[in-house]
Amino acid sequence: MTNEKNHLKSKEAQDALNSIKEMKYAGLRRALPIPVWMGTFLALLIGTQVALLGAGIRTYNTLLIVLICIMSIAIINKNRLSGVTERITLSKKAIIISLVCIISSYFILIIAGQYLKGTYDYNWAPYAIGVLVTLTGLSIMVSTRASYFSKFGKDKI
Amino acid sequence: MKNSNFDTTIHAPNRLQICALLSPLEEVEFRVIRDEIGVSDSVLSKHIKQLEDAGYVKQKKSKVNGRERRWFYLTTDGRKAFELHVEELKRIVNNL
Repeated sequence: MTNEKNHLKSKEAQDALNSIKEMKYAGLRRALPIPVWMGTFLALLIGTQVALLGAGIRTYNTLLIVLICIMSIAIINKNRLSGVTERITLSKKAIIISLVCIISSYFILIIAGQYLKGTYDYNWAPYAIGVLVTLTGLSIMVSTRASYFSKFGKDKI
Repeated sequence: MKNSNFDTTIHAPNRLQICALLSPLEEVEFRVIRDEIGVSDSVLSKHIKQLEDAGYVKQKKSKVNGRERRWFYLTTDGRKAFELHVEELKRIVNNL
């Protein structure tokens, strides 16, 4: 009789765990990371802007800023429209430090491009830096997506 | 099933599903919880009220295109209670 009761308890607990797993996945599925094309386009825009500013070409700067803003708003809106927001496990301090590092790297890379072009006549340098920025952006996006999708496999309840 | 980590507020099937849905996310909108769990607005409101009364869930309101939307999230206490509850369920399963 006790064994039967225990078995019932265990079955109920297992059912509850299965239900938890199912709901967790349902939530995670709703909060899928940004689509590849959005991330790629954003990385390309930022890389192009760094390259052109480094090369001293300001003709398309306004257009690039507008496009970057539109893409950023589209990404934020995509999350809001899906009805879920992803959980950020980083602390506020870590987020601020990361943002400061990213923004300062952005300006340092533009200045580096201008310096290499102006001082050493390396006309290719700003473009190489732009490509590097694009590739960095792409690799961040790919690794974020990979770590996100790995949750589906590793999340054992 | 009386145990220190076993939380009867969370264990009710719908409330367990609500907590499970909220646990990996920051905030979830009311309609998403309703659609995923498959209950009516009134039933969901009742369960959320119970979780709010226990201090496990809180809500934020925002307006999108003039319509008010309610977003829910697990509080620190709620997250902790849910994790302990899951641990307890695992213990029950593994003990047999």
